[in-house]
Amino acid sequence: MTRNHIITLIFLSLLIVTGCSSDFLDRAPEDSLTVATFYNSPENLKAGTGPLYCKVWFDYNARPSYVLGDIRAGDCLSPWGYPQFSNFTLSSTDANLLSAWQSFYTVIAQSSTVMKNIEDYATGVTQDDINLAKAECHFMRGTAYFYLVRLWGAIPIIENPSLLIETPKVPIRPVEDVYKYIINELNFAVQHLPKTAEQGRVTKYSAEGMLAKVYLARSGYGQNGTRNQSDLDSAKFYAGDVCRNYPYTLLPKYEDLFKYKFNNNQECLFQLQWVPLGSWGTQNATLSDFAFSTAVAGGAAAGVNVWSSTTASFDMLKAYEKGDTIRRNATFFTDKSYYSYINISGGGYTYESSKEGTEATQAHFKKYVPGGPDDDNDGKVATMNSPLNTHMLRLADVYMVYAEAELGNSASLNSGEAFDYFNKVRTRAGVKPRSSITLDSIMYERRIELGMEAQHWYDMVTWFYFVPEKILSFINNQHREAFYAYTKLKDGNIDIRISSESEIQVNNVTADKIMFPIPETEMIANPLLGEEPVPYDFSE
Amino acid sequence: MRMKPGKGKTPNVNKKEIHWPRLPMGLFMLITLLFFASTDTVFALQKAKVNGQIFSTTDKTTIVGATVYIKGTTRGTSSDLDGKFSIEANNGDVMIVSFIGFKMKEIKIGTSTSYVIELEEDMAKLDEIVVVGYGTMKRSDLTGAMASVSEEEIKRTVATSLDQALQGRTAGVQVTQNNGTPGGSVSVRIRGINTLGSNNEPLYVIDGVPVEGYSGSKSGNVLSLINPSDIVSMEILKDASATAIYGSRASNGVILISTRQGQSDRTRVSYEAYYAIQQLPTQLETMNLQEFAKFYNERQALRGHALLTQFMDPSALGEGTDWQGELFRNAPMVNHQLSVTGGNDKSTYAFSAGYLNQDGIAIGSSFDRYTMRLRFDNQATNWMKIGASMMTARTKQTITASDNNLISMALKQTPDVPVKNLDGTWGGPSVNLYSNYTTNPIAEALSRENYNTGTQLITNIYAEVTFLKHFAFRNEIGGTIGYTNNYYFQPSATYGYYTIASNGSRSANSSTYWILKNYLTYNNTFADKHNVSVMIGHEAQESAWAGVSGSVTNYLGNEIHELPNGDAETAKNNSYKGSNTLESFFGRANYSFDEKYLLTATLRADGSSKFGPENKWGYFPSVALAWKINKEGFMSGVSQITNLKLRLGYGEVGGQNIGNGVYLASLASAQSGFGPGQLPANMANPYVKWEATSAYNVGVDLAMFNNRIEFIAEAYLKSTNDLLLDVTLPSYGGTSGTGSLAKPVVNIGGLENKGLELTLNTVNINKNNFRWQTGITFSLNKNMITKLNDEDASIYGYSDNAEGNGTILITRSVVGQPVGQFYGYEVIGMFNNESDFYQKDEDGNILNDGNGNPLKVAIPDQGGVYGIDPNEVWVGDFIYRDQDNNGTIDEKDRTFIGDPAPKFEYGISNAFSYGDFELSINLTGVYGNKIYNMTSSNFSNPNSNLGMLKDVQNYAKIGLIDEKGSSSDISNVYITNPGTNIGRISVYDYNNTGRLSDRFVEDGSYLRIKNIILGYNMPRKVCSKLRIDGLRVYVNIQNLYTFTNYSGYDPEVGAQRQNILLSAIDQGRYPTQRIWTVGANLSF
Repeated sequence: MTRNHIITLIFLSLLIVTGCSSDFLDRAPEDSLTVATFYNSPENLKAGTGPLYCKVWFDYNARPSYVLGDIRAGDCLSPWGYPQFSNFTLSSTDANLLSAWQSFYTVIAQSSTVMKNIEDYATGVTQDDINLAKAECHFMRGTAYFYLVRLWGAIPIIENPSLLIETPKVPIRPVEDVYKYIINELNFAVQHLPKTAEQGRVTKYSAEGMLAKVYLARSGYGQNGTRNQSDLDSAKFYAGDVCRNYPYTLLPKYEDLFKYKFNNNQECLFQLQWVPLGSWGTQNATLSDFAFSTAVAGGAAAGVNVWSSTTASFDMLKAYEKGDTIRRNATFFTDKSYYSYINISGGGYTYESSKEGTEATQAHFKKYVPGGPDDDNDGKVATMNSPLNTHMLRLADVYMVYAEAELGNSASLNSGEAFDYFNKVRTRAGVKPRSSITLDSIMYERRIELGMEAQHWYDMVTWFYFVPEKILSFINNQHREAFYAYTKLKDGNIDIRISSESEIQVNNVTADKIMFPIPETEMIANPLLGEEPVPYDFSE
Repeated sequence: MRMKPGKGKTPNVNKKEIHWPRLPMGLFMLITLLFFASTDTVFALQKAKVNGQIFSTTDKTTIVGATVYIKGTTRGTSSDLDGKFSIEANNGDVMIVSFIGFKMKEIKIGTSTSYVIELEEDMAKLDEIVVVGYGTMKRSDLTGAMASVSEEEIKRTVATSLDQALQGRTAGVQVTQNNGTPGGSVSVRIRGINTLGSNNEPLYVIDGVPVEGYSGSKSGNVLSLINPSDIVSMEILKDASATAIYGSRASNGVILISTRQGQSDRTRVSYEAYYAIQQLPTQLETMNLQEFAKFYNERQALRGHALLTQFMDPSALGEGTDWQGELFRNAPMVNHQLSVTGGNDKSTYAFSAGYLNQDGIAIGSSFDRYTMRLRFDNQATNWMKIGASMMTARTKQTITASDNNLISMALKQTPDVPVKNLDGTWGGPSVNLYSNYTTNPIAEALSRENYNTGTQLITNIYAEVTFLKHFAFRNEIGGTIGYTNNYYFQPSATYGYYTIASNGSRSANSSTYWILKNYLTYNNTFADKHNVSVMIGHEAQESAWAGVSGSVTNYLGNEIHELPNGDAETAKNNSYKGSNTLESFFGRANYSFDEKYLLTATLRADGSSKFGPENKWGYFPSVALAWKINKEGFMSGVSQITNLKLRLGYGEVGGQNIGNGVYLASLASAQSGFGPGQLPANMANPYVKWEATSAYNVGVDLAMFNNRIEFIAEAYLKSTNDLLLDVTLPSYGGTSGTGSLAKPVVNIGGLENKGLELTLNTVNINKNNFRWQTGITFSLNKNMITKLNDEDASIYGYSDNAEGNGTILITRSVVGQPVGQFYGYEVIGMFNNESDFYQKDEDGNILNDGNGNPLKVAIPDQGGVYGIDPNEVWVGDFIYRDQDNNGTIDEKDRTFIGDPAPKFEYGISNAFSYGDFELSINLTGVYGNKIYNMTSSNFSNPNSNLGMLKDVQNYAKIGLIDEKGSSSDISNVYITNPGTNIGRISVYDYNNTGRLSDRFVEDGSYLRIKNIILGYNMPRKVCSKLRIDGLRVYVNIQNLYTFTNYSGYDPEVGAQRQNILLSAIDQGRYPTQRIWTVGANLSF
């Protein structure tokens, strides 16, 4: 029994010693960093803000961008894919609507969280470093709200998303307050962003350009026929500063803006910074939605799966002024147009939409279609994988904003600095400068210059603010559902006619259909979204 | 064993079709057989012999394999084929004879040397020793709610995984196959829904080693790694007083699994094999090519679009492709199992090896499994026992069909697309007409590689020391090691219009787990009446996991599938690792007085690494009482009642099924154009704490007429507080979509389950060699949310739509209502003519607003303006109920449209035996549950471009009252086929016909003939001539027929990703197959 007792004691002592050491129950994540230790050098602050240019915008960029921005504007149509956007029969359950909403709020939540992390945990960096990183966050957040307010109007403002754990239901805020909030955000960015930065990162000029656009948009809100002069002045101030002091000018060749080798070129004030061939969510997925055939994506052998059936609308093709072919060819494939940089090994690519002796009937997307992997793209083209950055704000846009702000409430603008900048946009496009600029000429120029860059619908909403009848009649005079036929003339212009207007006409679009309905799932989760806006407390 | 297991080679059933094991395995088995056949276990028998023969009192048949030993010695033997034995004994010794299923008998040895012993059958198995947490107990001493599934019952079904073997067996245990794919996941719910989080699966404890039953993926199932043939019993601990000893992981119930042990007599070898054919029970009706062409032409005309030339003359077309017919097949399954058990009075061992090969009924699915198990127990000294067990399995699961939604694809691909073109290449849609991505499911199933391999090792060693007479100390070290690899390769291909670059990926995941337990048991009886047993213990465990994955596209050719053969530019890689820990202290005290009054109390404290510093520890007590009424004096005259026990229990258990580090804010690597970066990963909740369930249970056990009638009734009430949930915030929280923050984990509220379980087992007839037994189980459970953080809060379930239409809000859970009800619109009819657009009184007169204008019924308000117009709302659209009476249909008109939880469930089993034949029939059923048929909603929409169920032909057809009148004049149109369930064809679906509505909610009640098995046991005499123990041959039909009104493949629809908020949503799940099996068990 003695031995028995010894063994017993050994086992009993095992029981006691296996009482674990005190840190046995502490397990920090082993494959990720925690916020408390990361923001400890200027490089890491940059690594902390870098993804705000990329993944958080993915769901918006991948499809809603052109569906909401361009199809909705009536510049193109996808009769099988997204007819509800061209014909105003959209429902609040629409998947693209929800994706865009989610994505903008993801930008906001992530920017807010990064900002808060930096405030709470940054060590070993200067206050300037901190302000710079925070300024990038403010820029992103302000920009995302700017997209939201132009699509939905009154929306919730979420300053600190983690408070939603306790109170998930928040009210919507008046459009005025949302604009004020955006301006505050961008003001911080203007004050703290540098004049020059690492290629691709936003600068003071990016923020000023965006802020000018915001002021210009707000200038018409709640107005009737005219715009608010002080907002116009602010827009002029910031746009003018960009025009004069930004150290670069427009890229000489328009179509180079949409080539891989010209990512982050001199004209770019803000581009989304995708990772070509990157992991899911970090790449520019629009390629397969934009390219209509493997013929423009490297040929069948390259295995790039593309499926676009979106084409230019009748109205859009009809809108191009005579001679405005550089921008048209960079935006849409039209019959017989030739591209030396697509299918380079095969001697270039010529788009054919007509058989011998017949009229052409289609004009597919061209902009953002850079050819296949073996063209001048360093192999970085694959299914749902474009090598191109996404333009969010470029210098030509700010030039036009400047002119529009300068035009302000006048009928026309005939000279001056802004007038000259505006005409630079036209000159670059190979069309003659305007001798006089009106709101109509600005509307034309923005539509054509920024065609298929997911800008036109947002512009239409801001014009609708103060000239609603003009915008409604613009929409209702469109032939959004029309099938068409055209012939290419020798000089490159096209002669187009409606071949069959679909039997089913677009509804008479009324003012209440301009803003999008808030996604149904959000309305269910928070009925306050359907109630009156509650003023935002800016002292919070 | 009682004379059952048989002998000989497996009969040559359909020899050509039997897939015998591959050579190495077969050879191995043969060698093993020869080896054991030549070793005859020898017992050292002593000279003064006592002989005997053992019979059953019931049918007077001899009992083979009964254990005979002399009390107080280690001398023992067992009865032979004729029930005979001989043993050395002295006059005055007590001989103990026992056999499973019979009452133990003690015989005092007198002068006689020859005994005829009759054992009385013990139908309630009251004295059976059952495994409870950290120990064993006599069944008659149990105080909690426990149910057992015996080896016999497991053998009465053809189960490829142990959780399938649980189905329909016990009251209160709901087993649902989430996916019929071979090796696919199963949901097991014990007493309803216990948490709103993603895991409602019980804790499985296999020979003392806890194994998580949870698997989030749609196809994987950890439990499928375990061979059901190795299991001798499963104990299901249902109420909190029984499970509280498992504390923090017990809130979903606990299932204790025991594997076979060796026995201390002679060596036994058994071999089991079966061969099965599986088939698809029903196919959904889709349009053939002619029907499709005709329908398509009508559709194009109605939408004002040009007809397609290839469909101009439908009569000239053939049947086209029947994609389901191409995808589904009759598939074989084969299983072999060899086991050897044996030992001597000091040591026992059990060894087994098994092989399963199951082809799926859908091509592109299969499951292969090799298992091996070894168990060894040794009485090392008279005070110490040691033992070890090890189970290992290797599986291969082909998941091409389920992982790539090929069943959905087969439903939506149109019949004009050929499987193969005339030139032998794969067919595909010729033009990109619809901006939709459809592919060739057959080409994908056959050419795409997508399989998992898994290797799992479960091992445990123990030492048990008895000392100081009443004390026993047990030390156990257990662990699991698991590896899962995935292999994926898509060759470069062109299907019609579509082209796919070759791409592949590989992933390797490993997990290790260890557990160290020590516990001390004290057992003593005072004054003959007070029995006390106390156990205290400590336990520490750690789980760790890690994995890597890589992918690449553009391979050089399609032959070599490994990553270096792809284009390095496109290479991507990923890795992860993590771990968590749990430390526990626990104790249990049992006290019984005079075998009449029983008390059990337990307490456990668990500390978990998943919670922040303030909330790490949780405490889980329980207490239970039982009163054996039949032992009371006043019952002594009631001889009919052999057992009557009343049980009462209360316990508290916990839940901690959340991710690691959710209380900490962490970062996630995220690339951007600037290089590597870090994005905030989650919305941290530093206050997150344990989920706590407290539960009451009351039970009655009754056995009558010598246990021929056994009745068990249980009622329970469970309340869960501080429910843990990954809360889906509104999207403006930035927790939805790409690059978003992970949802916060929040203690969100309370939930209540109450229920009733009834079990009735009877022996109806037992004479003249004929025996008929019936078992009935009935369970009823109601769940209700009792509390959420704010009083009008809701929890929503968001389903992924397999058809890529984004995320759909599909269920809503609110206080005072059951969990996960479908939440949508109520359809009250269809607009058949103009008058349907106006409100009517009871007599059908149109109501007006007082100014003579008729009052319109509510129609959808989506963008602000609505109207009666062919492009907006028109005849042939559905009328939705205006729940809030505000005159328009909008999201406020959503309501609860169906509860996926059944009102009750039941199982009926009948077992007949006559002579050497036995027949058993099992039925299982559920009643009153609802299913959301998303397959129907996706594929019966006449306006959808793809996927056409046959019903679509009956779309609402619009006729003109005046043929010359206008088709856009509402007073001139009507529906020519009123009563149809399919809407009209239109270009713009302004009415949003496919919206989530009760049109797609179906009754999911069913009664299934789950299992019919007919077995034949070779007569004992024949067996002994052949020098074998037994041979049993059987045929089995599983899922022969299902009585149901449900229109999808199968009403048994599990939960998406095992998420309780997404139960019973049918997205064209892999159907449960009908299985025809022949098999044989041989032992010698």
